[in-house]
Amino acid sequence: MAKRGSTEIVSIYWFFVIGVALVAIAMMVMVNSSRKYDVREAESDILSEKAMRCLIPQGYYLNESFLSDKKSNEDFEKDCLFFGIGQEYYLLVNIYKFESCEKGICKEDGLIKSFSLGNPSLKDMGILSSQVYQPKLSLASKKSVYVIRKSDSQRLVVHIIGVINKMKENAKV
Amino acid sequence: MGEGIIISNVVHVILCVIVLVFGMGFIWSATNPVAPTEQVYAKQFALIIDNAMPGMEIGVNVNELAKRLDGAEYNSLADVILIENGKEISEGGKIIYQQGKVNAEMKKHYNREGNKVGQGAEYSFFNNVKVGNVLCDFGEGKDKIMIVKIFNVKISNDEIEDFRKGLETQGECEAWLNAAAQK
Repeated sequence: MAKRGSTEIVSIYWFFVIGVALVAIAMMVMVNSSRKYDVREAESDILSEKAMRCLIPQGYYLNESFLSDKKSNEDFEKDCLFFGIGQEYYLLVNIYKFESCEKGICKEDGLIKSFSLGNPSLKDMGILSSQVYQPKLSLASKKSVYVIRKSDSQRLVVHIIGVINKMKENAKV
Repeated sequence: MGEGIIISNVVHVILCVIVLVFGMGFIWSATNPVAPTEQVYAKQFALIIDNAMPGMEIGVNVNELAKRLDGAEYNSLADVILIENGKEISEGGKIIYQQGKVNAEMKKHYNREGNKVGQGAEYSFFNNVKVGNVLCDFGEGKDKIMIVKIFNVKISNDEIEDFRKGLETQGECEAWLNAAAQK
């Protein structure tokens, strides 16, 4: 009689173990299936690449119209086919004199022209998370290219930073 | 007594099997494989549009989407992947830009049990272009290709409609694929 009782206890314990294992598996699968695919790294890369293609269409000569004093941020947005760069994006384009740059860092007094679109508060967070991935921060892509101004063969450096926030769509918050 | 042990063991095994079957069923129903599919397609199409330039035509294989919709009633996968072009809206004399977005909406469709297939996913794109999309369905068990064409934002919607009409038949789709393969 005592043996039968112990078998029943083992049986109940066995089903409890199976139940716990199943719940654990279900929770793991649910967590995995509900995760969001973070495409911000690719998207920020596309954003800065698109700005670069627009400024330097041939790959080495700068589109000189962008150096004109009359070119505003709105003109840059329109000419480069960006649509409503709003609060979820930030794009910064700085064009420097070649002489003012050393080892990838350019002095502010060498800045010739600058364009910025979107939400500037995203910049610092984006740069930080592009160095050490932080899903709950915006993500940035940085590009730096040497170009030539065709009219006087002057060498210039173009720095581009593209930042994407879109946290709701890409990360669990 | 020996017969009692056999019966109790058999009952135990049957109960184990029942618990496992119900457990696996619960896991299967708890995990919604459709939601990630919608998200992947919405983001994939948005990034393709962002990276493209006017004049480009891109073919995207949407077999996975069709597989997920198996059993659900739908007219065309082109209705599931909805690409909304951006708009310029005037508010108080000021032009406000509204970004374009891609909606992957399997939630509009119902499976055999009458349940909604998905939850819907959307992702916005920043490229100021107009987009036209057509589905090329090569029949049962064959590839389903969504062809996306990127237009200059200034073109009329009639031109997008002409592009769609140009890929209405299977023969036209095959010609498009052959031309793309040769390029």
